[in-house]
Amino acid sequence: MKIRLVIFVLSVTFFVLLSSNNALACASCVETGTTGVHAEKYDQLMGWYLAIGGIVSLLVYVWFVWLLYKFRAREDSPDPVDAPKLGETVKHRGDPTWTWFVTLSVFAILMGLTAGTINMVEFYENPEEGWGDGPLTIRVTAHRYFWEFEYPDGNKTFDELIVPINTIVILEVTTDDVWHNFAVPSLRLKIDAIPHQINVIWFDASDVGKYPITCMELCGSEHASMTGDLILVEQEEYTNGLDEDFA
Amino acid sequence: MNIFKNPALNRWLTTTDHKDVGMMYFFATLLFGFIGLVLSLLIRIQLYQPNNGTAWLDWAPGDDAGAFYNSIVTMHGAVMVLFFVSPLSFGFANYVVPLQIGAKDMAFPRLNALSFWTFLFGGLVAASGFLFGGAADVGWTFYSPLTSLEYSPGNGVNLAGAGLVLLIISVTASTINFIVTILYHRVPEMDIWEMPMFTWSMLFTVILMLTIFPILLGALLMLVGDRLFETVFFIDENRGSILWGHLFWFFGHPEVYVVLLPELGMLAEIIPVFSKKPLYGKRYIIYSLIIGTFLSVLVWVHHMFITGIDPLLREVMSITTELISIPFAVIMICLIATLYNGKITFPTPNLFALGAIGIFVIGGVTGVFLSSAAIDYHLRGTYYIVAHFHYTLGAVTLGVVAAIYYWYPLMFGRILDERLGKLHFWGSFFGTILTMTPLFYLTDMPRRVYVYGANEHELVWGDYHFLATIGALVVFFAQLVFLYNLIRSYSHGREAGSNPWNGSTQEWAGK
Repeated sequence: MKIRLVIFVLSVTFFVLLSSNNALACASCVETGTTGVHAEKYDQLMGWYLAIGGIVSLLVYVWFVWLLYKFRAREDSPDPVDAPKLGETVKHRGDPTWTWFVTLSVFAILMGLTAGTINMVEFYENPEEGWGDGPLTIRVTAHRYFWEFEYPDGNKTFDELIVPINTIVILEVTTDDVWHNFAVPSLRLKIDAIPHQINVIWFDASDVGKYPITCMELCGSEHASMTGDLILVEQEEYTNGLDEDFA
Repeated sequence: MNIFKNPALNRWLTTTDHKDVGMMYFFATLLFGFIGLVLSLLIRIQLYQPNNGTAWLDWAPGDDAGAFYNSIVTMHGAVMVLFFVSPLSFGFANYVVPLQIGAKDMAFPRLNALSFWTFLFGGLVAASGFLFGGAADVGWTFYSPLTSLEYSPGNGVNLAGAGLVLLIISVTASTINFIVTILYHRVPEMDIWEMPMFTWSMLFTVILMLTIFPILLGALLMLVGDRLFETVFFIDENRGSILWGHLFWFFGHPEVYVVLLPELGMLAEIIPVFSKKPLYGKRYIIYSLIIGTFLSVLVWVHHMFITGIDPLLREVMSITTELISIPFAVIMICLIATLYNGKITFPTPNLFALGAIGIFVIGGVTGVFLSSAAIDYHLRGTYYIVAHFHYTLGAVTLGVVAAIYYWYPLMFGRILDERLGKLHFWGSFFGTILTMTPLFYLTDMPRRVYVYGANEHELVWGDYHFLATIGALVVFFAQLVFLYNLIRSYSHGREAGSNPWNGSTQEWAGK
């Protein structure tokens, strides 16, 4: 009996530990890196959710496992006096104070987290003044199975989005066939590409480099191959590049 | 009725008895569950390493590995949710609910039999796509315009749609049947507040189903119109495809509660029996079920947070989604509090029930993260979502399996073997954890890709998938043990007697 309980306690601890620190980073961001103000704010908010979620689930598990251990059947333990018997109606039992306490504390925790969420939704919605230069508006059109980027000067690139850092970039995302989803995990950025509709999202990145773009909505048989690169360059390099294109 | 000469054929094909219908649900859903299990194993084998070859996928008709993989994913989801977990609960409901409330049979026995047969053929029709040129490969969400004739010319979507329509006919008939039975066919002495918890949870399940399935029926008929009669409901330029999203998720989100509620009822039956204490807070659980059922139809936009929908709607639906976790948290706390001062024994049904709670807490907490519209910007469409809903649905499945171990003696007169049962439990429990925990880390990997690793940064995903595949194998072999146990115990199991678990509800009073 005891060995089985030890196994149970260990197993519960094992997956609480594994699950409680998940998702803060993306698995491959160790290699590709993380950049931009969204990522910073996102990781902060997610950190709160993880910390509080982790503490709450840990408390529940400790309580749960303690109950299982403490009130396990022993050979000499008598049946509880109110053990349900066949043919007897089970009466309601419960402590309203304790239940209200649980309900209201869960409510309070959730509303605290929601305040952070609403803040963040507003932030994703509108670029704030003074975050960077720009804005630079780019039209993103998804196709089966590649990305098309159209710059303000009419130039186009495919599967490669090249933009300067420290600039507010506004993306107008749409598709010319089925639903796609434009996602840049390193920026914590994602928006659906929906037919006959333009969805707008913005970002402001701070580090030069190459970051993966992925399609995150099933779009057909070659959905798996629909990837691209976000290439972040210095502002000067970007301007020079444009000049070369004109020449 | 004597239509067939063979007495067995005659019994099973013409029966309207609620026990027989319940058993047929039981066998049919185990068949669908096994199909779903094999499909999931195929998915895991394909993903076990980066840049895995697709030779076996190329056998598929049409020579299209991606499409075949997508149809496996689609059918795994649809079969597991719509044709396995939910109808298995209905099988038990058919068997147990009339006994629990002292009814002689369901209110409309022939309608009940009709429900079963339309359900069975619905499932077979939906899955038959694999034999007729490729099953639906559009994801169980069926987003338009991917489902339109232009992008999915094959039979798969039509067959899946036809199967779902049959399922909806079955569901509508059986919801009416249960509502009437539960409300009007109780023994006169039984006040509604005295109903056992499983009956209570079925009452809310069927009310919720009656609310949402007609919406899906309407949407499917419009889709059929688009595909067969040149209508343009979902390919219209003026927000046609968003319309599908709203209609589908207005059905699709409450559907997960349809799957969850019966399981909560089962846990509320099983845990008190094995801790020898009356359920803690029965009324709180019932109030929570009412609130949860009501809120569940007000949260669907959290599946559409990044469709460019009005930010105000996103914030409101974030709040309702966070609120819906409160009633279910209360239910979980009440179930755990039942153990206090009890005398807990650990036979297999209780192991599965307690394991279900253990798994569900992680599923619930990770779900709270997803209710945040802001967090959704990063996690939507990734393997994090996959891990989250497999934790919740994995918990639901463990709970339903607990019910199989619990009610098998009632149905077949024998107890399932305890040693095999414990092997089954620990395999399923650790297997589920090992399969799904690594996937929480893949917050940058899209779902429903049949191959990964073309870019260098994707190679690291392979480690996580390798662990997950091992976990899936453990789960699979545990289920083989279960299958063996089900068959062997039917003839060799210990005789159960009339009330093997000392249950207190009326289904154990018979015989």
